[in-house]
Amino acid sequence: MAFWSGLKELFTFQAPVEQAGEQETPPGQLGQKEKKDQPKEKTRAEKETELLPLSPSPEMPSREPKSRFRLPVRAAAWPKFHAPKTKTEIAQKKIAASLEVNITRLKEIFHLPQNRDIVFRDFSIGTNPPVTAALIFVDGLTDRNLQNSHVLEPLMFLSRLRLDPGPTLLETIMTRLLPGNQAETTDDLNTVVDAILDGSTAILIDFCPKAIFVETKGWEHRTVSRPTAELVIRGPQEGFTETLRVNTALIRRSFHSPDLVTEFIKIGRLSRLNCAVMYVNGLTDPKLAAEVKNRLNHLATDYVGESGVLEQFIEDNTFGFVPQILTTERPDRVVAGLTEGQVALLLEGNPFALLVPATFFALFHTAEDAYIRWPYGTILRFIRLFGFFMATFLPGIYIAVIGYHHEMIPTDLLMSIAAARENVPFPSVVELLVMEFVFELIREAGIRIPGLIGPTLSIVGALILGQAAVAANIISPILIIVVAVTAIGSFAVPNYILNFSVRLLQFIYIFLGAIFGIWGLVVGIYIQLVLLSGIKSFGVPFLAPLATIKQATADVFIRGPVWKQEERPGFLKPQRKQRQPKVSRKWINQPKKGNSNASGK
Amino acid sequence: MKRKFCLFSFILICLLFQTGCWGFREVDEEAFIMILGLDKGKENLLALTVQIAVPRGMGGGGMGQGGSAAGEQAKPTMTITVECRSILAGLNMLNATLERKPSLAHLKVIVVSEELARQGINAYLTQLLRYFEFRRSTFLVVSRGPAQKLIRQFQPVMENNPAKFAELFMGRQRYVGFIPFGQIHHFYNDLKLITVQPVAMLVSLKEKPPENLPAKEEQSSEGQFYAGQLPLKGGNNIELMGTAVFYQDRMVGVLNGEETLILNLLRGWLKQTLLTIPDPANPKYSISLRIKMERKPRLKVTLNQDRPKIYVRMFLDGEIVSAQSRINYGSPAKLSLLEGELNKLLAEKTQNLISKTQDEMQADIFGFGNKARRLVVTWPQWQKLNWPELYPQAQTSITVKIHLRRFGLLRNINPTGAP
Repeated sequence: MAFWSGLKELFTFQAPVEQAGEQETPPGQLGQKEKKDQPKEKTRAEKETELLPLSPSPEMPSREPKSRFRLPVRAAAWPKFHAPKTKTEIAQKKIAASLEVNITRLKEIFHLPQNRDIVFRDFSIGTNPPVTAALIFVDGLTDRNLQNSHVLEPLMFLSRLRLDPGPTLLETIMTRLLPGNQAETTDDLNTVVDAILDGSTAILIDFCPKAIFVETKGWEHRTVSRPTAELVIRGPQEGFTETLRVNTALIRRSFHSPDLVTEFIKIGRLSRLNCAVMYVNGLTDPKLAAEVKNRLNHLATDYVGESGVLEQFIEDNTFGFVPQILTTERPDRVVAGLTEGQVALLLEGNPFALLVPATFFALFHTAEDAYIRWPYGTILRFIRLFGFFMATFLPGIYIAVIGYHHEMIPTDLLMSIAAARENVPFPSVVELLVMEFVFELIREAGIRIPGLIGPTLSIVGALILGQAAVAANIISPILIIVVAVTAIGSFAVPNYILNFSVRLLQFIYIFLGAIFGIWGLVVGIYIQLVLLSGIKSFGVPFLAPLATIKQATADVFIRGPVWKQEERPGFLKPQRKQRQPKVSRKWINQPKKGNSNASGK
Repeated sequence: MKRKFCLFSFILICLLFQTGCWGFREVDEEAFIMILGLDKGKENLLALTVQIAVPRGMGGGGMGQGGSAAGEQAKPTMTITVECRSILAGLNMLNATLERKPSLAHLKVIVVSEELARQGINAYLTQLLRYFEFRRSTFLVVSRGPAQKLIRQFQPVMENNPAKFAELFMGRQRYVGFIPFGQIHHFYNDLKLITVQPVAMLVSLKEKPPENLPAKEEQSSEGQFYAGQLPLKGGNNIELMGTAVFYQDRMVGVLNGEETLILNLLRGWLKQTLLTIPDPANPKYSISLRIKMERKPRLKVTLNQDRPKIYVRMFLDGEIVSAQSRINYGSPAKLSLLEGELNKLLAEKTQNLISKTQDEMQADIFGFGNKARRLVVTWPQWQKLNWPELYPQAQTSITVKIHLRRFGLLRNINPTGAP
């Protein structure tokens, strides 16, 4: 232990004390921010002195010769420098009654005049007497037509109409002058700032201690299009886009229930992206929803830009080699998950939704399984599982059998393998590793390659893999088949993340097979199973319903008939267990005249 | 904690590597023996002949070999004979001329010459049975001539691989019945018991058929030949027909194809066979039947005044394929006539076979001894009973019950009009 800490000290930057004062005021801007609530008249010098108490230096005189070094800032102390906002401070940030003060404060917050993104538009509302007001918004995030015709026009021109005056100017504006469909008032400066950053337009009025913000979002975005990774033949053909509101709408469009709740939580202390937490009130396990929200609320990091990053932050077993959260870009998949009792997370600017908790078998399900009749769906699942096993174990089994268990190969096959290997100069292990590596190379290059020269890669890859390597006696043809089946099997795994884990495991099993034979594979599978059954995803055992929790409908390995799935998966602990009554096809119990061809329930 | 974990996993990984047998061997580092031949040696005890598969000649190679070895196709096998004291010693000696490790993992057939078999093969077989590479599913055949000659001259016509010939041939015989079911595992199981004697298949290179072929009337069955004597022309240059009967590990006699068929029926090894018998109404014509076992035969052994009596009840299921005489055997009266005739015929053949094993060989190859165990209660009594001694004196009572069925599947048994 002492050794490690010594190493750590060696590699840690230690600043001399002389610069301590400057070192400890890096969050100068944040310091200014925090000063917002201070009276306006304070000078720059006063601000500097106020910053001092933040630094630990007062009790440690800066030019003390005997302690030339100070301890480095520990990770635990970082929040002190980076996030000075506390709840009380936020609460203090009220909007002042003076337009000038408000604008100055906002300009300070948004770092004007350096920051050219934020537009301050001064105008006057055409009441009698005219009142000065200002429009504040982020250029590019708003819809200018909407702003011109529905905010500025009524305020500037239509306000001259003879109107029945309301009790206050604010109320008149809200009720009569502002035709925007979403407009709210607030007296909290932070809310205004957040609204502006979300794409709303804020209206500040002189002598009014409240601000209005109108929803005028209108930025450039991709339209809803086909999902790229989760294509189905039968089923809806739309995937999520980068716009959060569109995504939530996509979900709600096929889930017409008032019980569907969408909560927003801001993620990332710097980026402050909206994350939608969706669940069904009265169905989803409240503990699960609470746990998800708890994790999101207590996520202390500056930037989470992608759902993949969020997934890594909130998953249970960070060293596990399987994805413990289901990622999907299909709204119908999310809706299906919500109705079973899962919680969906959607991050702003991200076309992937996260479904928690995920189980191992859910990673093999696709949306289409449910849309086609159950025998076909079941076969599809078997094929996928077979593909998974092939991709994970086939190279390992091949190398184990080729190296140790010659008696397992049918004689004729053994002869053709041996004949093909006669002229190959490398051991089988090297051969296999080289081919697997080359294949990984092709796969990786195929993703990174610019689209126009893509066909070149496939030609080169196919020629190298299929033709030249065999013709040159570097690789035996049987091995090409093994690698090809492995590759195809891995593509049959529907979950993109699981695909990576398969690719990784495959190499581990090659090593085990090459060193220990089948025995090594068995030990490897055993360890893998133990590890898998140890994982929990948001409180649900990862191998459920196979291990530990048994309640399940016929929707794990096989896809049972829809009428038979009366209960929701028990491991999700839904509040309403019953999905449908025992007899969901009610007409079959209706009295019939003569023939009764009713079968099933 | 972390350090402990690291240490623990390090030790675990080290331990893991202690266990490996480090026996990784490429497939082209081994010489796979397909056929093993045992002969009586000149000087030594044993002349061991091994036939080794040559992958390049057998597998044909992949597409990569098209260019290099285009002209001459390698021979599919390589045969080596070595004089040695035992099989494993012989395998060791092989490495004087063989660059690859001889492996028994794909051994398909062991050929023992009749000469050696009559001497006893226990000493050689048990050694193999204890060797880890050896498979007990290997077939055991007894060659009428020297095994070495058989192996060297045998080249299957349709197969490139003699091992494949063996596998296909043995599988096929369950539908013909002219050779017994002879995997070494079964041979060894029978060898261990005194209540049943082992049998092996009989093989021979094709010889000239004997001059005095049975006259047409006498030829009641096509199975009355021994390997090597069939009136056949063309085909593979070996013949398998009949059984080598062993007493313990010594060969004591041979059965012909037809007797082997009955043996197969009695031991329950037969799936189905085609039987051609003379028409009971008109012996000039013959009737072809497809025979299956309805159930396994019921065997029973009783003892009266120190003389055992063996009861055999066989249950067969038959189906007429054709009747040359155009008699409609589907009619109830004719049917019982034919069934009775068949029962008589088969019972007679069975009786003859059992008598033959009793008189000529004194070997109970049917396993009646297993049923005789229940005559006594204790081990000393059983030893005193001495079944191998007792068997030749046994009386037999044989009942065959054949049921001819599925006449309905034949539209009309006499297509060109009844006589």
